[in-house]
Amino acid sequence: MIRKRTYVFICAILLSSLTLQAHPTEEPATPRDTVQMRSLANRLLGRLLPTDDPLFGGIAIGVDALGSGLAAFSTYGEYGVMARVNLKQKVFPVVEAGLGVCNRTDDATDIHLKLSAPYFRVGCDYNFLKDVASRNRIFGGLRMAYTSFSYDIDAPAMSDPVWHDQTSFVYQDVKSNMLWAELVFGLEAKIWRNFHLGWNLRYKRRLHQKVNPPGQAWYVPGYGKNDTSAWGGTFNLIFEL
Amino acid sequence: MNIRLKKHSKSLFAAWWLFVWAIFVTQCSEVDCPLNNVVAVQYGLYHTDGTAVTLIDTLTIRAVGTDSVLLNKGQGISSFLLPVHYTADKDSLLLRFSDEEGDVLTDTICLCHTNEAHFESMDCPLCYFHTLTSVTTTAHAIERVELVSPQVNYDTQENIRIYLRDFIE
Repeated sequence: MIRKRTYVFICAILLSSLTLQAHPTEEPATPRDTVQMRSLANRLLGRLLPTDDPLFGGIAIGVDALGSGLAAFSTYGEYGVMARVNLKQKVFPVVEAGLGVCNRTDDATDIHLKLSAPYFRVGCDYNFLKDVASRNRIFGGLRMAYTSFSYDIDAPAMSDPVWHDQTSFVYQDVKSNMLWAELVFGLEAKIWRNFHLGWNLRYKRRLHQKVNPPGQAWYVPGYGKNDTSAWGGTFNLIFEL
Repeated sequence: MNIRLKKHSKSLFAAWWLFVWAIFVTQCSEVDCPLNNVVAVQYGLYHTDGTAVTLIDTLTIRAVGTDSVLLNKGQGISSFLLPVHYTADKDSLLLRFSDEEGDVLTDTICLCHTNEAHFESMDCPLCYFHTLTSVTTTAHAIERVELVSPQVNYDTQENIRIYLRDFIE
């Protein structure tokens, strides 16, 4: 069903773009063709957005309570906020931003990492729940995310096992950046008036990162522990304006 | 409201457990550190015609400037691993070849390199990687040396070939 809707969605977008591009071409399409294509696109969009709700359903803002709690009470986490637009209770373009912080010293190795930097995500969610009137939602979505940051890292002096001299390990202001994509699944429920509570699970895939000596950052703002892929999640308190 | 909550109680319960599972998954991590935090240069022993040598004579290697013996009376070897100085950019190694009759030949290999601190993870010890820039030798038992792979890191590969004179067995 989801795949079918995805195909419908893609077809609708393609047909919509064809419809929009029909006007500036050198050989304009006949009004009859244009009307037919628009009709088809509207029918496809109607299947994708079958509700009777208005196209613009409002704006919502939210905070990530889970990430903020981790940032405040553990050695790393993200203070995150989000804003999104409600289109017919089905499609939700989203912008997310936050501040990733890490101040951690490993118990075993005594390596200390410190950073604080913003991150940004843009994307879109789709509400798969048919009963849109309940204002409860089951989301699936995509995000593209980016952060540019610098970090400080230091460790106790190392002793050369053969020549027995000591070497320090202190790096400051090591610059890096990362681009990644996220696959999102989430649930959201209306709890009181315009307040919603929702959580989501995210599969994150690294697309690009800049690495400088002495190596890649252990933690990346908005991404979490640095690896080719990562799992994450948010627990959002959302207010619909 | 209560009727709706009852109706969706199973879904909410499932959603809650999915959330708990998600938290569990996101908090899981595994440490995948190398077994040790020391990298080494791999040397290979060869005849002048390029065939590999399995040494019958005894080879002892010391690092100049220390009392450390890096290889003690090695026999039957065709390659060996030696550490690199973390902070200096030039290592001098004394290679002492001795045969059954007690004849001894000593050569000095000078190894020039750069040192790069390497950070793998918070959970893993730090280490130093190296890039070999040149290698030279005296020519008593050794005819010549060749730098074949300059990168010294966790990838095990032959870095330097030592071509021995024909009378070294």
